[in-house]
Amino acid sequence: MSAQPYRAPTGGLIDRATTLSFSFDGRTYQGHPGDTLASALVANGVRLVGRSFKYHRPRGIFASGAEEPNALVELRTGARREPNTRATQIELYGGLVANSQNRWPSLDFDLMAINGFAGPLISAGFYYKTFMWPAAFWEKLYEPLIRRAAGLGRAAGVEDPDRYEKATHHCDVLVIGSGPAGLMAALTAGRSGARVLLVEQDFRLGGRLLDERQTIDDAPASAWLAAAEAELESLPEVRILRRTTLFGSYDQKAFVAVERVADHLPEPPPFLPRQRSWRIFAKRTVLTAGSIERPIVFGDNDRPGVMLAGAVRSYINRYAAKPGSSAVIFAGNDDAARTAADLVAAGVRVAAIVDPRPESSSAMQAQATAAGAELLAGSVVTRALGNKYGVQAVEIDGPAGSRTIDCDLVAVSSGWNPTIHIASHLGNKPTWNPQISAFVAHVMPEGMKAAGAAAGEFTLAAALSSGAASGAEAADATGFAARRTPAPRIEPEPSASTPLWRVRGTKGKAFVDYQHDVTAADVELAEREGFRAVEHLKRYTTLGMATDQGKTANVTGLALMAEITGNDISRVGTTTFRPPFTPVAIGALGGHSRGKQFRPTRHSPTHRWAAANGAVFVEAGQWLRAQYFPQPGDDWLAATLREAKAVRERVGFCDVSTLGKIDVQGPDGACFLDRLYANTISTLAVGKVRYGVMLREDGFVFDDGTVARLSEAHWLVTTTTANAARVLQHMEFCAQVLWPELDVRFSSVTDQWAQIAVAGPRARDLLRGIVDPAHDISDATLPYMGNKAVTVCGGTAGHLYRISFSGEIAYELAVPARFGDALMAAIAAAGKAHEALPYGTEALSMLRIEKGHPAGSELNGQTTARDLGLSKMVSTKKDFVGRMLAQRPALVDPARPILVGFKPVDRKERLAAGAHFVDVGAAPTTANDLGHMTSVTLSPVLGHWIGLGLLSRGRERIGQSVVAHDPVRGRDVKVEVCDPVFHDPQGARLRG
Amino acid sequence: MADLRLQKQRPFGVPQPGRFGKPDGEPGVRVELPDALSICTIQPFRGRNGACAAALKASMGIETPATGRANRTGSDAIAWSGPDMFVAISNAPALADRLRKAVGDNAAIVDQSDGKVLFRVSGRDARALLEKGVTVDLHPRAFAAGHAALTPLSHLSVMLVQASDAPSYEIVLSRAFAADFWHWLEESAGEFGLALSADGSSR
Repeated sequence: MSAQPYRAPTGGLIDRATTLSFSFDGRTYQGHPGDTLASALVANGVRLVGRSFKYHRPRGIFASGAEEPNALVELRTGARREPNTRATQIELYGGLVANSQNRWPSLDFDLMAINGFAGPLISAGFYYKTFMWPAAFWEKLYEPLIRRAAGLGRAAGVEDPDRYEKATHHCDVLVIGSGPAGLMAALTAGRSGARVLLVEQDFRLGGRLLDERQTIDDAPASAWLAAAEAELESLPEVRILRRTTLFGSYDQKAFVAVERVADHLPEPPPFLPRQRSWRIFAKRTVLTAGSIERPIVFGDNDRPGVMLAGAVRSYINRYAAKPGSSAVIFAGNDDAARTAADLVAAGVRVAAIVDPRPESSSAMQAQATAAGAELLAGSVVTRALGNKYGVQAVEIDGPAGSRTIDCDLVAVSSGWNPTIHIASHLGNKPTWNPQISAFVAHVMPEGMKAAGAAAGEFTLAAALSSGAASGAEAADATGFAARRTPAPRIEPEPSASTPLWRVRGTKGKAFVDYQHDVTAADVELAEREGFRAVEHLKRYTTLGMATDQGKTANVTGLALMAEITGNDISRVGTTTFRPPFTPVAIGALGGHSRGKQFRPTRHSPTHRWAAANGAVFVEAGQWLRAQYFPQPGDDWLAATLREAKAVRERVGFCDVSTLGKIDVQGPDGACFLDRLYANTISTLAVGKVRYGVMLREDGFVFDDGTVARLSEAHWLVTTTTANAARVLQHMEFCAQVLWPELDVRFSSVTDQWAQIAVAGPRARDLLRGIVDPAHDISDATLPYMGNKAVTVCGGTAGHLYRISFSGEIAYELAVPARFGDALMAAIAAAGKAHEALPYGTEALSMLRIEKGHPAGSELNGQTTARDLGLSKMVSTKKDFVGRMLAQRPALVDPARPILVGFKPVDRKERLAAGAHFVDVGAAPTTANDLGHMTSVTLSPVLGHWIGLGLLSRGRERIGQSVVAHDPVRGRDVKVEVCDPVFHDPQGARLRG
Repeated sequence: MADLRLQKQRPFGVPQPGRFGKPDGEPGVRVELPDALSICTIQPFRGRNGACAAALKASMGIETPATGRANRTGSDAIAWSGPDMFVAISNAPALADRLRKAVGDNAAIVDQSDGKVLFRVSGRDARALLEKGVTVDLHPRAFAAGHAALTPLSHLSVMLVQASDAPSYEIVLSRAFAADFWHWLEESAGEFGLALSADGSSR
């Protein structure tokens, strides 16, 4: 294999001293640092690089930048395999592995190419028509078939092993694109001292300066470029982000860009992410994103070897890679002269310059003569001839009739479209500028201005001067004083251009959108079938909907529609521009927020102790809570039963630090809490605790918890774990909006305290070994629902609350969070003598169901205080949030399901939460539905399953039986309705 | 049982002091996790801002800061933390008791010494690190010593105070989130090299 047969011996911005090996479709090739995958393939003479989306037509490299529609490859292998990457933007590295896409079994021999002959079946809108009937075939037959035949690359299918991150940058002046206009803008603004961010998607600054052979100040442009880059690097407030694509513009002058930190390496170096997404906030923005060249629609214009003229110059000048050996230039603009000169300089024969304009300029003629090429004015290329490896000749039609010219490269150009995506993302519609035959961003987002080719200023001189002016203006507008310097000297350059959108009456398929295989005939079909509006044209033909979003296709498609309908293109308009400009990996958008970091996790101050003691954890809101503490051979139920029995018979301890704790202080605190809770709080004495229930404004129960009065104007409110943040938010709303006249302050102290429940007949005995002897915790001093400050374990300040969720004698002991793990250990040690066990949320739940306490399953946002059996708590003597709406007829309907208990009639049967109640013998229908089972457990006290549930007229049905119908598990259980308190209904065990 | 004295524990998920990320060269980021700081919130009651400020000045020798600012004397600081809300930070123990005595019924004082953790972040790459977490503009022209902000950091809510021009920062967050903060810190500071110490002992 000859090494890089199409590489010129000298020139180009590549490092010939270093040779890089890479593989494409299993074959090994060589390239150099500075190459892209595309340029290296060109240098190696690889012309066929992929198969098209729908017809599986052979395709070659068409462009040299982000607009590339054809040369999409799967880059890398295994978990790092990335589909649909543009070979034109992949920076070559040693060991790079890429594979072509959408071919089977191989790129060279593709069976699906038969789709080309089935064309009439899969023309525009085919999936709206062909596969309509029978409907049953869609899922099983049509869709799998289409998926296999169509489509592009394959995702890796396994987790991405790399890391991504997000970052933020603020600047005075953002410059998007580092071509001549961008460099001038950044230099002018940067010299003023403004904070400038220059973003460039390429790995080199320079834009088209890298691709053309031009002079600035009578020296090669590369000298000017090097000086500009060096100066920018030296300015302390200028930051340059290379390999960074700014892909979207958002409200409030915000932008998002993705920096390919390590995509140019086989894998990211240690401690670096693969990509970093940047959120950018800019006071002023200069859009210097350049322009994208337009192709011409003619017969078989998709053959490998048909290439944008600007890309041809790029491969020749920047990469010293020759895309062919004999070229025909087909262009209606003066750039053709430049293309011819560059080709000749690189040793590529120019067979002909085909210029559709009836008369060519003298400069063009001179250039053609110099190139030894025929200049065919008033002529068009009607068809590219060749095989799957590319074009071999073109058919030309002109004043002198038709003829065929041999060539292996067709350089096409129909002028340039300013790259205005970023200016259009916020919904500003571009306007047609007939002087340059292109859409420009006329109405700009606030603070943005375009310069250079992005503004339709296509010559180098205009790019430099408009860039300088925009940079200066932006710097001035942000409070700096930019110095205006004379523009560099540029040779005059001809830039006349007359667009030719398509050649009519050609044979073969004439492509408008290469990536989605949309042809001129498809656009005509859409028009005939009434899909004339641009957005309809887009959806019907899928024009512009591929991964390239029609960068080389959209305007041509619009122009064709305008031509067919006899409209002016300015009236046809454009489709909506949406971010991202080029595809972005989801990983880059997610950044650090991935896996367990998708949302915050809160660890309780006793987490270490629980983990060390074998706890199984469960997510409760953001918290991880100990669910149960299994011993060898235990399942969750065995462990939970053991823990619950320890509480009922001896003593257990459980971390309750995760419950919300809100410190309330202030002279109006009592009044505030009275209005907040449905029951009265103001009468609570210092040193006491009261259970409280809060309603929402709509009258349903919001949350429950306890209120402890610590001193005259100081309370501690607890909430459920799940509702802690919402309750605090609700309190803020009440204080700021509803009752701003009340003088009260509150703050979350959830994280401040490690709080441990100690429950069971021997709870006090255990605590006696923890609480310092100076503090009397006898029943007389600290009765049920009392609270007091204590010190524990030899002086650590804490607070003891005598409250019970289990129905046993119980306390909650709070110490500062730093002591949480140590307190758990101390309680465990002190508990040994009492055979104490730690218990988790499962046992907590088991115990509370036995006691008939409503919890999360019952506080479901659809239950009232009455539904939960809490009517007596609801005050009739004061106003409070939710009072009025709780009295709505439907909320006081006596037929509403109400909380009661359930036992299986056959005590051996198991109950299931979620089962719906129906009368015995009644059909299980919605009309017969009486409510549902909310919580169930195996009762350690009773030795059989019990349940809590909401049953219509439940209290009246106590003693009767209903059926708990469970269609999910396919079980119907006859259950007896009973009081919800299964254990110690008098509450005797709580006291004493 | 006076022999059972409770030992303080570091927040869960934060490792022992050491070197993390890039193992060689001067660490670009230095982080201290002081284990004996006092942190309190101060919320003046209605119409008591002036009296509260005077009491704080007398007690801590620090002027109550303006919105978005933090004032400090030595190692003590008071930072704005919301409308009519401030956070006091001190190396001295029992700050809450001291402040309660000082402000009386002019403000609600809440001890958060255990509810909050404070990380001191400094080093050559401290600003580059924070760029990856907060959206606040930290350029010296926009955010300098004495500035304070309440901001999301990654997906956590934090109070960010710039302590010195070096720059060094103080990041205060809820204790239960310390593990998530550390996860973000270790990943984000990895490329710079990260040194973690307690109370500045590694300096």
